[in-house]
Amino acid sequence: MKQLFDELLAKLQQTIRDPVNRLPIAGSLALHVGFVLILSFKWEPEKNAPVFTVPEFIQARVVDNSVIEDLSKARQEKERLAKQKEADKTRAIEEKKRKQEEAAQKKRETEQKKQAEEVARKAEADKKALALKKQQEKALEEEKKRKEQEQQKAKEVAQQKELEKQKEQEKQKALEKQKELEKKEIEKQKALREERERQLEQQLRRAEEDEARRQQERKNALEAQRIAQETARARVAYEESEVARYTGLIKERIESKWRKPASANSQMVTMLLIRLFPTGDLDRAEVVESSGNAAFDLSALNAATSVAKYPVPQDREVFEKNFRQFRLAFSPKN
Amino acid sequence: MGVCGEGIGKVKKTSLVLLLLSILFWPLAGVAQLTIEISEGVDNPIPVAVVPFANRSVTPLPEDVRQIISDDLQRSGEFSSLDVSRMLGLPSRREELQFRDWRIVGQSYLVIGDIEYSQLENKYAVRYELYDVAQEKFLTGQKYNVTVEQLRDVAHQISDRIYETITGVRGIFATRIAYVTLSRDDKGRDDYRLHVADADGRRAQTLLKTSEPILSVAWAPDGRRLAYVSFESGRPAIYVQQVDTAARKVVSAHKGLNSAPAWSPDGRYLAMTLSKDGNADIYRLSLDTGELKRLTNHYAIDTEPSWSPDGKSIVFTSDRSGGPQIYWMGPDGERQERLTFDGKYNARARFSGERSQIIYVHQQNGQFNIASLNIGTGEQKILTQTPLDESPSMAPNGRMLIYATRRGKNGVLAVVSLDGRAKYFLPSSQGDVREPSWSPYTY
Amino acid sequence: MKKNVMMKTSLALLVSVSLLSGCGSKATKTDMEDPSSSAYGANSSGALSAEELAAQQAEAMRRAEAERLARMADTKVKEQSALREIRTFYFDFDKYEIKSEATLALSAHAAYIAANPGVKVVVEGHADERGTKDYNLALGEKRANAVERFLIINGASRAQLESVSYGEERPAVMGHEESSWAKNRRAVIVYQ
Repeated sequence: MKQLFDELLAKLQQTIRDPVNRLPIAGSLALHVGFVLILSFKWEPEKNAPVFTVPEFIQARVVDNSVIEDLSKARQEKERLAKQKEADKTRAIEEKKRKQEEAAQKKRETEQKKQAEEVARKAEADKKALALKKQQEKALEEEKKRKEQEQQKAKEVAQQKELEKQKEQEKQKALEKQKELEKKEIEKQKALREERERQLEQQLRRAEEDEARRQQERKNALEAQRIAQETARARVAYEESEVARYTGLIKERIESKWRKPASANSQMVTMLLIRLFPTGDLDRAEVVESSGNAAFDLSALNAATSVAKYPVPQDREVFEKNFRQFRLAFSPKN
Repeated sequence: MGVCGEGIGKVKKTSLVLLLLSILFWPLAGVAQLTIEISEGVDNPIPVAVVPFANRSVTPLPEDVRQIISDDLQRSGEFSSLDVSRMLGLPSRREELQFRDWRIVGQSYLVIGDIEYSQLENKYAVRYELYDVAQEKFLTGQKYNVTVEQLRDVAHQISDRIYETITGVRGIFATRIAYVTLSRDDKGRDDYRLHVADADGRRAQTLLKTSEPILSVAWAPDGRRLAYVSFESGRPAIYVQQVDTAARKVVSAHKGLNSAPAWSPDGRYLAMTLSKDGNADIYRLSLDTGELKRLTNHYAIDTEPSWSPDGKSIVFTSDRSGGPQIYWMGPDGERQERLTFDGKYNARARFSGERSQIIYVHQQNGQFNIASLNIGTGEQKILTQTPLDESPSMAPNGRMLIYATRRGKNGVLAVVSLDGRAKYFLPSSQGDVREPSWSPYTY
Repeated sequence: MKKNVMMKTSLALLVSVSLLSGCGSKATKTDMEDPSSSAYGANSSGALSAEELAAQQAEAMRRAEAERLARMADTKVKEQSALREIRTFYFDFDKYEIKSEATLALSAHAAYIAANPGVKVVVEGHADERGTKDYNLALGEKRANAVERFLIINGASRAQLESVSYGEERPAVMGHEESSWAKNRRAVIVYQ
């Protein structure tokens, strides 16, 4: 697109630089500027109207089609007035759309005629001066010129007639254009409706999706809760097994160190409170319930403190809950 | 401190989880603190290190106190004494202690001490301290000021204190034993001798020397007198002799048997076997009044009386059932009741230190062994295994007993603990050794 | 002739053995054939009647002996003298009943002691090393007493006899097996 634009610009610049083309180009340029101004003025109020941007594109596409259509028609009818006609056609559309514009159009046309007449008059004066010099031929030539003038006038009338005919055609074309526009408007409305329906549909779908999602979330939450409960249950079971395991290990270790004193009997019970570091190292061991026999208490303390490292669970939670602090009940079986 | 801080941080993190969990499972969290039941122990001896006592004087010491203590503890069967060569240090003062050194070599208890000789007093100051290695705690200690002759006594007393502190049972290392030896003199005549020695068999003294049999030696409860049977007059008679002064007197010399003297716990009576009325029966002699009371009256043999520690019962041997069995009765001979039923031969019972248990000679598979019987439960336990074991005598703490047995050709004395952990022979003196009697506590 | 003597002696022995078995065996306290033996065996309370019985029996035996002596005096003296050489009598373990094979010799001793009132005898009782010393002392005494009683029953006077037990203190044979033990479980008649 940009490439195309650049090409056009380059061509334009070349054309401008060519001295032969300067005058017509200046005229054409002036015309174009005028059109653009008019167009921009025309387009301005519409700018506020559109809510959606999408329909603009649609319109643009339609305009393009019509341009192509117009071009082909113009070619068929008159090749030489192609550019002019294009401008005229555009102008005619403008005129038909708004009547104030038509006046301006006519004024310009008359100006054009005046200019053409002035050029003709000058040429006539030159010719009269020449005729004076050449009297014999002058009369003939004057007659000729008069004929030519008549012809010119007839030509102009024909031209006028042609213009009117053109105007009629343009009017017809504008009508067609109008119809097309209306058709496009309908299409646009239809598209809008469709768009709105689509959006509604989308909204509906979205709502459905939201609902589905919410349900899924609810389901997920329930599942999570169930998993949490199951995890908690598993946790309790795990903890219980860990406690049992390490209780057994500690019992085994202590019993391997305990030497029952000679005075021990099955009625004796010494209760020790054991505090451990998470490493299993002994923090503190103290008698919380004495057997009443100092040697028996001593044997229990000695056993408890002789264990270099207590087997404790790696799980800190299990440790904290059960083995950070616990009791050892020393009592001989028999 | 850094480690400690980290620990606390982790605790805080987990404590939230803990809190949540405890809310979820509050009935579980409410469970009482974990209590681990410890009911079994190990039977291996308690490892104790007795460090050589430092000599704080210039002259060498006449006794190896460390060795005496170490041997005492080792012999009890309840301790194993660490060899000096395995010690990583030889501390004698508290400030020199490195408990780690003793943990490394697996010791539970540690004994240190020193001895200082005072020339001025001609006495030895013996100091010892007992430590719990695991707890790194001082347990007990004492200082003694003694003569050279008392050094062994002090060593035994230290053993007693260590033993009692750790086992809760009074030690018997400072007690004594009496026994009889038989050898042949130059002319091939029997040479009977009555001896008294330390419980470890050392420092034996002879109290009586005769060519006629001596038997049934019994310590008086005061630990200062011995009763025994001597045939020195050609017939058995019962004598009571002062251990220290050797002064003695005949307390019973009736026609027939005068044997098996047994002291009542208060020391005022002797139960004994007499056959003056035609048959071996048990009598009770009052040492104060000389009054004699017949306790049994049966045509069978009744002999070997022995008083219960509370003085309320007397056990004795009777073959009234057809063979020797153990019976008991009240101190006046009332309520005679048979106690042993297992085997054809059960004799010479002694109370083990409590009313509920007796030790005696039991025949089984042609062997004579020392057995114990729980009177309450009837449970019998064989304590010795050699073929001809006899004359058991309980140590005053009721933990072990001394008895006579054969080793090769000779009779020797052996000691066994009731739990079977200790078993050792006493160093044998010349000839046959028999009729041991374990003294009561001597201090 | 000799056979006849032997037969008569055996008869007499049979009588005395049956009596002794009553006092010796604790298990058979009541002998149906001879209620007197029961009284004898039943402790010291029956001692008096037992002695009377023993006296009667001894009297009967003495009469029999007298008859025999009258007829075969020479042979008998020699035989009795040979029998009296047997002075040690053995016992089973933990027993104090006189064995039947001992009665012949014991009777010869009894006859001799009875015939010689001036003779004094000490009966020593012994036990083997097995069992307890004090019980063995009592056991030795029981054995000595058994012999003493036999002698009294067979005519010896109580005043002539004395018994002493050495228990296991004076073994005849040193040794720790049954053959030695058997030789040490004994009663010995010692003429003073």
